Amino acid sequence: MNDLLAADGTRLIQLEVVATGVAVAVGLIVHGHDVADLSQHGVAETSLMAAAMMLPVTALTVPLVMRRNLVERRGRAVAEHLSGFAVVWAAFGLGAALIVVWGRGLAGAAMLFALGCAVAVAWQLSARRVDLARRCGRLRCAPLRGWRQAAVTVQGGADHGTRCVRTCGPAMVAMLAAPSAAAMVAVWLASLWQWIPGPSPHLARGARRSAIVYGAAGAVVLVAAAVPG
Amino acid sequence: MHTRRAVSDPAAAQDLAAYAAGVAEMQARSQADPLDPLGWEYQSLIHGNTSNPPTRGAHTPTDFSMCQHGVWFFLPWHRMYLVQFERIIAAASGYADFALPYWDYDSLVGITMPPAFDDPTSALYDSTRNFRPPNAAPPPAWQQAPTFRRFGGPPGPAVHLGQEAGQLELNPHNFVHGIVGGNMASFQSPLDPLFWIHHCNIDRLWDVWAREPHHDHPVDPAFGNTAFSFPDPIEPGGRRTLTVAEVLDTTAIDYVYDDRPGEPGPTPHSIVGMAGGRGDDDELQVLSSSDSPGGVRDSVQLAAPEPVPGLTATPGSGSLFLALENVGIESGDASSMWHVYVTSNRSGTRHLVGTISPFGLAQATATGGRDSYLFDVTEITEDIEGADLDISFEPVYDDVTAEPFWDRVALYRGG
Repeated sequence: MNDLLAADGTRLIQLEVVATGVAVAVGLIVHGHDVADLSQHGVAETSLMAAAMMLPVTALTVPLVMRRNLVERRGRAVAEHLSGFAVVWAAFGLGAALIVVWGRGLAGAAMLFALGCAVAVAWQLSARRVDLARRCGRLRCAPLRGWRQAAVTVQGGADHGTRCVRTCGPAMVAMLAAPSAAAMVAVWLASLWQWIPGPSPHLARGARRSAIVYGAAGAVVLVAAAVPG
Repeated sequence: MHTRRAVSDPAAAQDLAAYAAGVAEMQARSQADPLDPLGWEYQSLIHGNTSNPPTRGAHTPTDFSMCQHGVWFFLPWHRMYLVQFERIIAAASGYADFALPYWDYDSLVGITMPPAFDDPTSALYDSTRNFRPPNAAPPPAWQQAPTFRRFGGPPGPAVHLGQEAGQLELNPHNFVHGIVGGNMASFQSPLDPLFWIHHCNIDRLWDVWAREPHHDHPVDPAFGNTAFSFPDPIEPGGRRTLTVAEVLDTTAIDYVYDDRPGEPGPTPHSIVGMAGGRGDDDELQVLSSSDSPGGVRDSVQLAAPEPVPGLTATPGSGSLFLALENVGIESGDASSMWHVYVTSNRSGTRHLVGTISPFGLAQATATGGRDSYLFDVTEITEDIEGADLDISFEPVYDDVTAEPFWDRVALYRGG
């Protein structure tokens, strides 16, 4: 992502706010105060929501896709890239929704969320994740024409989506497991906060900031659930 | 206000003497305590080390392996690094007016070792060097770079190993690292005292470029507001933090170069043929490319592009770039260099357009990263535009064994 982020970290945040705001608004209209309850949404809807919320990330890779393709084929190349990316995140959303539904049945909503936050904290603090975040937007170069152009471009979108899942997946699972809208928003805001450009090494510092919020959110929910009444 | 002089200038003799004394003192500090932040080894580790992937020190994880490459912070970070080094040398040598000399090579083909650095009894000597001036060198395309993106590197987060070097970083920066070899060919290059005067010249060339009309720095706050912190011998707490915006003008950090007496200078020292800007070339259009991944043992053919009326930019307008995209290498260092040649079927002339000097590339490849090399070929537009092209490669030195590979070779037009 280093060719695309940083200067665009602010733009990513802006796009995410808009996309998620729209998703939440639709969710509130359809589900009212139960917007955070996945059992109300259904697995398919969650899958689509995950793909929709992460699509703004491709706004950072799309310029590179356009630059690397012939002028007359740019639109098609972008569509190919987005389709590969969306498939990965839809699959992730499907899997995450199944985990949440199953996990809640096993451990309860609060415990599941706390566990998800704990995993997200551990992953955020790992050096491996920081390295992945730096290389998130690396794209393959496709031939300019022929069936291989489409195949490599779709694969490139899927590769980007996969790296994205590896970087942000644990936090996204925690967000989807949130037992309340407030907890979901806290995790979501923390996920955006880490991309704000700052003093070097800003990716590592941002990851630590977000980890603190994930941990706090999980602890608060767990304590609140344990308090009688 | 300090004046940085050419290393060949007799007036730089006192600076050279202070430099040698300061280096000796810093080396002694490292002998006593390798983690002394004002010591020679610590200062080198701030730049990087040779491990794959690069590691950070256990005691100060935010200090080590922090040099910026392949991103727009390459030049400002190294400027700060040199300024801080100058302060350390001044304090260590006791010469308060110390100004770092710059290595004033006119041409890489005729580059010579400054005598003060070739004395085995001097602290400025490095026994690991394998100094070999090349038989040929591509033209320095940085002079024609119309935007900071092309000149200094693309936007991105502060990153140790970026993905695309600017023209100045490609040549002469990477090339000279490879020419000297030894410590200079790796990310522990600051262990060689030549590193500092080499980067002083790179810094000077940035100053030269920035003084030209229409050569502007990025105004994005993500560039100017980014800060880096370094050990300091004077500041309370032993640290100094500088923002990029604070170092864009050398006079703001108390130095000028000897060819700039405080005013926009005449033809800069040893640089001729400055070309005017050709406008913003950030809007790139790919014209043709190879069909499959390859390496330097392959000869690549690029067919003449098929222009699309109304969409493709007018032939002859803007810049032309030859790009090697997503380049990796399994081993080797900056001295594992390969010349890049373009031959068109129009004239049959073989043009040397660039040199791959894989400085830091093996480390990037080891962690899944790749670099892209953009060589400015605008000067040979008349010969190559609309023609079928043959791209070929030759090692700069006979003993080069490491072979770069890539996803694609492509021809681009800039706006």
